[in-house]
Amino acid sequence: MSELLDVFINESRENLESASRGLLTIHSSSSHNGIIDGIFRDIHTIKGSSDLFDIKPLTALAHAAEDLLDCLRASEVVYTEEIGDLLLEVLDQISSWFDELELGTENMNEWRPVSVKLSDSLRAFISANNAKGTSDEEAPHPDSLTSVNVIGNTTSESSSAGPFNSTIGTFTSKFSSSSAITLLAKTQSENLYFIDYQPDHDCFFRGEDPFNVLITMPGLLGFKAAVPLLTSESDIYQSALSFIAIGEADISEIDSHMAYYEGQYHVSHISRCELALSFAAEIRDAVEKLANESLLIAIEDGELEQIQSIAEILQTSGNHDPITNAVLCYLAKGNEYPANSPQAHMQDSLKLESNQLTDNKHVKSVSLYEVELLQQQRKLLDAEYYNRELMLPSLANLTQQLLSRFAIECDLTCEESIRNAIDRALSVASTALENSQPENDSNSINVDSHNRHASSISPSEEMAKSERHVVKMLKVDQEKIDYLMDIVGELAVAKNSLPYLAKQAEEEGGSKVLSKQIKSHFSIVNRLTESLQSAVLQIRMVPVSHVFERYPRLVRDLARKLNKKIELVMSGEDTEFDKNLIESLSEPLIHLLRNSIDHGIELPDLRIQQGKAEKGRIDLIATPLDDSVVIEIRDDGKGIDPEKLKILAFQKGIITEHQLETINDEDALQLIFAPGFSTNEEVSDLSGRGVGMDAVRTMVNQAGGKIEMSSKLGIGTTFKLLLPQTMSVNHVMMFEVADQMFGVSMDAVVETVKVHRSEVQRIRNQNVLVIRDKLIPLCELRSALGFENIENGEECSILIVSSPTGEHGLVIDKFHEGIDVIQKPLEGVLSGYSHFSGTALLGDGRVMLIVNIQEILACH
Amino acid sequence: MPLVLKKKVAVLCGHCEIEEAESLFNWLQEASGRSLNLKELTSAHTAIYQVILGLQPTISIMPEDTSLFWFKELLTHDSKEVWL
Repeated sequence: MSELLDVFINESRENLESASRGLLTIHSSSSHNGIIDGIFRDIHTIKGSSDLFDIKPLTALAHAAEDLLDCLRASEVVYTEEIGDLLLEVLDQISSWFDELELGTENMNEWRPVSVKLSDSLRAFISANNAKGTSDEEAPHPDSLTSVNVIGNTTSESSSAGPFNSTIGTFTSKFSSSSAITLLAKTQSENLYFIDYQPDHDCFFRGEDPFNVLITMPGLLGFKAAVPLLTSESDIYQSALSFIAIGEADISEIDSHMAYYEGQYHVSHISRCELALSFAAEIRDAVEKLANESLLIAIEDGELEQIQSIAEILQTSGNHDPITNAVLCYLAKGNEYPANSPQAHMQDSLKLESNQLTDNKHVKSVSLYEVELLQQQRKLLDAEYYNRELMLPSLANLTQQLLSRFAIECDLTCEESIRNAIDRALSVASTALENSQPENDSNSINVDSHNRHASSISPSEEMAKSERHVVKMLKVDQEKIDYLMDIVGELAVAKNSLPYLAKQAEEEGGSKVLSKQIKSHFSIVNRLTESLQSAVLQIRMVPVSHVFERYPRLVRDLARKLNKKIELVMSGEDTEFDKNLIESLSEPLIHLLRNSIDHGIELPDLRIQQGKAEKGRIDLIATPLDDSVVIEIRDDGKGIDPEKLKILAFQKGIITEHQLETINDEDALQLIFAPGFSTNEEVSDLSGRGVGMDAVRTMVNQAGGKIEMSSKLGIGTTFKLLLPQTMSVNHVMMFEVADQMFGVSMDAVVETVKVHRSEVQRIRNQNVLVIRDKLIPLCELRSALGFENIENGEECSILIVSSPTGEHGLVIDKFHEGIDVIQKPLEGVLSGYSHFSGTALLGDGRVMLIVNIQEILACH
Repeated sequence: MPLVLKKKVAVLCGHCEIEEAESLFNWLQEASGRSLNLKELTSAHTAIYQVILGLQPTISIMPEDTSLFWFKELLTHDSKEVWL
């Protein structure tokens, strides 16, 4: 519910904004054709959606505003400045109510007078301009209020599980008359659900298959489908079906089954006990109508077995109407005849009681049944298998109903017996609750300390609020999450041992069955590990604003120091990112921002001379892109001159004279990332020590990302960082060279090919391969990694990888599958070998080295 | 082939995907008196069920597969109510 409210508030805020923009436009320009239409639609949307929530004053106010706008639209009322001001005031009021709703501090009693006052002023304009329409216009106002009331009532009714609740009503009205008894005969479970599933018309296009969703629903007992007749014009790719179904399962199970079809269904709980209560009379009627003597005698004697066998015989003999059939089925299943149960007495007497309230004697007898009934409920509460929480609301409702009925005519003893019974039942209930959910208590204590001022709120509301509060406030030490992540990572690696085991079972144990079983278990473990992993990753995700929010201050301070005027515009701050990664990013981003402020944005005077705005602008934009995030830093400063860069690079010995002549502008710009490069003639304390960009690139690369730069002289510079959203688990492709396992990051792999040795050609002392008219230089990994180079076999396996210098082919011995590993950096003696970027542990305990393609190709 | 369209009878067997829905729909529309043999049908996409239930053609043979019990019920009962 809170999620829905959040969505409503966010969407409505947009509507409010566009409405107030519209009003301001009318203010500044004389014509308002079309603009009023837009404002009307915005307000109409807010009004419509607000109906979903219990915020009547807001709905009423929006309605009044809508009425006035409708009159303006129809030119019945002439737009004046006052109307504009009033409408703006209304928008402000609604917006401040949204603030309260978000904080959970809304108070309808305070809202109501404000709403009435503003609505009256709005309507005053309508009536002033349209005297005869006044009564017509006033009419919808109270109407809308009552309609909201009705909506409010029905929702509250359906959410409570009262004895004669509306879910049962909906169920019995939608299914055929015998269905409830059929259902009672079918199940003994108390935990029933009723679902109304209305697939969207275009659900087929999303790959949904409603009938199969319905049929596979957990614990499904029965359903009813509405299938419209098709004509030749019908679109068969549009679903026109709708279903209602009933079954035995927890609501949560249904919710998870229907997780992909949110918004297309509504599920509610039905209590079998209540259903039995509601239909006791029908069962008895049917039995009486049947008028079978032996059955009636058996019922009178209360002999269950006898009833059962007679019902069975009756069922097979003769044609009965559906209700009788269902009742016979119900009895044949060994269900108790309702007259024998106190609940049925209850039901019966309630009916009588409503007719003859004045009959004191009868009321007394009812009170006895009441005690019996409550005792029955107590028995249920005592039973361990019984879902106590589900029982409580119905109990409360029942007793309340009875009390209110008897309040008129009860004598003292009767009332007392009711009270005693309730007390007994409730004391049992409360102990049951305490036992089953001790955390509820701690919650309410928290609430007390949090909301001491809001004493008017009922405990249940407080409970709900505190839940919301706790969920939002959950803070966990990051170390714990990291530890969890480590374990999950280990688990991901450990699960990789299962395929090895399967292979071993098949090869050494000779058992294909065992191997198959291991494999099927592997797929389960694999799926679970993956979902666990993504769940943990989700926890670690934080919005990029965590880092971004430090920057406005930084920019302001630096700009002041340099006498520049700079505006930092940030967008996409809510893009989510792995916490560790984001921390590692903080430094490079500061570097880049400093560069933009120091080198990019010009002094205000210079900017004015160049016809630019006095205030420089730096954009910091984060956008999600598939599995990665793009962070852009864009300034509208002076840009970078590639010519200048080239000459500086030449002077510093970074490029040769030959390169100086041949290098193009695009490549020249990338020289800025070369080690030991700084363009600013004077070294400032902000940036410009010539380590900046090199360091930035290294840091970004370490985080598994890429950095790109583009710049236009006089227009500005843009740095683009492409970063993976998470870096904890790597997907690598395994291959074998000289009987040793190696890995290479799957991202780099372009394709794998097997070619005949004769296809490898030699051009300028270099082995090359031509694939699809493309020349691919080859690198013998055996020699590159220092193994003996033996040419074995006719075929050679070539792994084609992409690197910054283009595509290359690595000649290896054998391909293996791709796996998920946790890459560990090289430590100790190995740390000096740049040929490898890290190690990983394989499922069978072997260590795999992960090759650093760039480095190997460079050495080659 | 999950869907075989003959002169008077269409035979559905195995699992029928949504792709078959259109040809089945058009075939049933082309002429009256066409019927369906569902003997070997085991499962189908909702679109197929929708076409069959929506056009109500004669069913020459009901599905034998017990998992389609509910579909048989839907075809035979006008109430479209199924108890499993």
